[in-house]
Amino acid sequence: MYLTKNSYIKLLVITILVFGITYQVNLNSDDLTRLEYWTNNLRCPVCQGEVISESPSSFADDMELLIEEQIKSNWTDAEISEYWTERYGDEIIMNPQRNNKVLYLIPISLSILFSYIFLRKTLIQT
Amino acid sequence: MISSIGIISTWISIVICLLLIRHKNPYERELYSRLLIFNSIFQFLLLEIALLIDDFSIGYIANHSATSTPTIYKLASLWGALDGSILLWILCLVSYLFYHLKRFRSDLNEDYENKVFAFIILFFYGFVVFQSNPFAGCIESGTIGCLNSTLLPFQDLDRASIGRGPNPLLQNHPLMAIHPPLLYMGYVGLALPFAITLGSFINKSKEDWVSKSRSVARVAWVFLTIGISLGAAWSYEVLGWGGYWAWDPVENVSFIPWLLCTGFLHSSIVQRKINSLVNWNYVLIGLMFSSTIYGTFITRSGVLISVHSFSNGPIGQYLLFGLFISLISLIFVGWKNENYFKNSNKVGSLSGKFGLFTLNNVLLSVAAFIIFIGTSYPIYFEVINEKQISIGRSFYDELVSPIFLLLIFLMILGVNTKIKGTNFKVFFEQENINLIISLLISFMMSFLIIFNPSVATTFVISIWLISSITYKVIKSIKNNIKFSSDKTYWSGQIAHLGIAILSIGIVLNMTQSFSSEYRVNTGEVISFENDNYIIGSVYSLEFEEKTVIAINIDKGNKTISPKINLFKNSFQQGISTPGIDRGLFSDTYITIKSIEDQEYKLIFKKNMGIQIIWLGLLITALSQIWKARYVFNKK
Repeated sequence: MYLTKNSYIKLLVITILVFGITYQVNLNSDDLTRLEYWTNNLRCPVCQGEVISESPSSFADDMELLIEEQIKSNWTDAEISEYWTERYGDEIIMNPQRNNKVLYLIPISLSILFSYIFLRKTLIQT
Repeated sequence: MISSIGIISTWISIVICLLLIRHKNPYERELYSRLLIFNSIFQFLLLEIALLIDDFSIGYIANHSATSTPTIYKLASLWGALDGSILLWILCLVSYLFYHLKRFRSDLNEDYENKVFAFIILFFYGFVVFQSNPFAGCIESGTIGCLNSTLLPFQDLDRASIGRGPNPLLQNHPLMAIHPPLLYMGYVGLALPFAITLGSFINKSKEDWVSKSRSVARVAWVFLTIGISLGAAWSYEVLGWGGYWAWDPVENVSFIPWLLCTGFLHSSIVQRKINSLVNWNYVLIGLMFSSTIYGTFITRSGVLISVHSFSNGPIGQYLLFGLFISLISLIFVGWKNENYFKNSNKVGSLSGKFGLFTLNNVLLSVAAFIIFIGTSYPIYFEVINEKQISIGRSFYDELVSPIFLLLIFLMILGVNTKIKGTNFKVFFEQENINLIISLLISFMMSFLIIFNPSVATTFVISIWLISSITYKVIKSIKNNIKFSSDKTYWSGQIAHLGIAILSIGIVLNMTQSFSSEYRVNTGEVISFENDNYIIGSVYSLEFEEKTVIAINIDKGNKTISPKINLFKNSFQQGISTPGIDRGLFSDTYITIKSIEDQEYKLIFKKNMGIQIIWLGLLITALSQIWKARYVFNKK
């Protein structure tokens, strides 16, 4: 590809900016706190399918307080998970880990298959 | 009395539907259609009047309205539960029947487009008459509401003394009165392209099914967009958790048809211009319609739990049956017209204009499919494993967001593509200035807000698109190009602009919002996010249907009053109404968690980008209203 001097300058500017943004990203990346993670991933068992952080019920509040305590007393994620599933069953956790693989693999593989067949059928002259 | 009139009127509607299906000439078609439309409007108004005068001899009204319910929520109670909402559903269907009659006047003696649509209307009337008629009279009343009702007219009715009143969540905000009708107009509208397509194939007039379907789909799309947006607004204003979209099953099943319909608005262009994607458009129209039926099945049959699903009646099997019939007829008609589909062209270049539309369809249907899996998986998982599973928002966020970023990138390519194909060297030459602008703005933003990889990518791509479209607009104004000369292109670009703004709003809201909880008492001062808030005293207001407890919180000269509503007809806890101080970039969103004698628990939330989200949605919806008006005026 033939590039003019002007294009080289623009490319340089773009490269510098991309690096600048990447640097910024690494500098202030902020992960969810563990409490936020759990209140967004535990379902309130007495509500209509809502997670704790979304539910207005007092039961959800109590759950949140308990989780806060559990985190403060250094429970691991596995321990917290076990505590809640033991009492309310697997469905209390959104996206249970052991089902994750199937859950993600089904749509991804089928989507790729669909896209392939679709594009083959519509693009290529037979 | 009203009960009997209503029941008989629904029976008459069934007869008219049957007559309409058997019509032999344009005159009959016009007559029966008009009668059907008239009759449905009559039923709708009749039920509204019955709601207004508190006719508790009707079971539905005794169970879903009350004397103390304010007028606006009495009117909205018509769609507050399953039986009544089907009446609204039918009203929407007949307005599309009217639209079809007026817009596409047909000279055929037997117009199968009309007949198929009449069949769909008959299907829903069948449910009303044989399963759950909202006019059903109450034959056994309880202390509150009605326990048992009859589908037959002229029975000895037992008038309930006290109405149960609507679900508290549904009588807490006026948006409830407009969000469902608009959403239904969109949802139901997707039945008409289906009827048009099947009908025109049976009519053997296959020239313009896609153009007709396209203009109807656009009308439905506008309603759907506004309906979904208002639903998001309702969730934000009422539910009190500070969000607008929760990937709740009911939200998902309104989003799936929206995605497919958006796809169809693009792929139909390809068919009109170069006669490609013909069979895909056929399938897509079928999918659009099926997804609405499937969505209704999921949310109205009680198989899923969500804040929206308000019934578990017999409608499940009935809808599955309807879904089955519509899919079978779609396949059968397609199979009969095999040769028609064989004559279509291929798209050719992937990077050309039509190739981009094709890619867009791939991505949109993949997104729809992923959401479909996420929504349906728990049901089938439970049937097979006899265990429940919940799918949280991370599933959707992780799988759907990348698709949307790709779509926005396609939109950037779409600003300047030629039909033949994109030359990437020229593309770079044209776009590098926009890319530099977006990188620069993103770089500057990275000092102001929390930046992580997804924020960075969304910002760069979205601002690039905005800059690219703006640049194109400026260039066109300079060259004196009239925007109305190519409304398809420009309305599309405006819609894309809206989507870019929306995505910036969403990513801001998802990553920059934060909240904290305070335990306070009257007179205390809270400092939250550089502002001081003075907590006032608690007061309560008595209404006929509810008690409202509120706290006034002063911020400078503004007063924010979060409330708790205690509804008298509900044993549920109070429903919290947030107090919102709106700003251009961020809202302060205060909810009451609990009020005790000496201590109020308040949640302060800084919600970023909410106004930007509404702005994006508004621009997107308006773009197509602009274009749709053109379609109306053209003929």
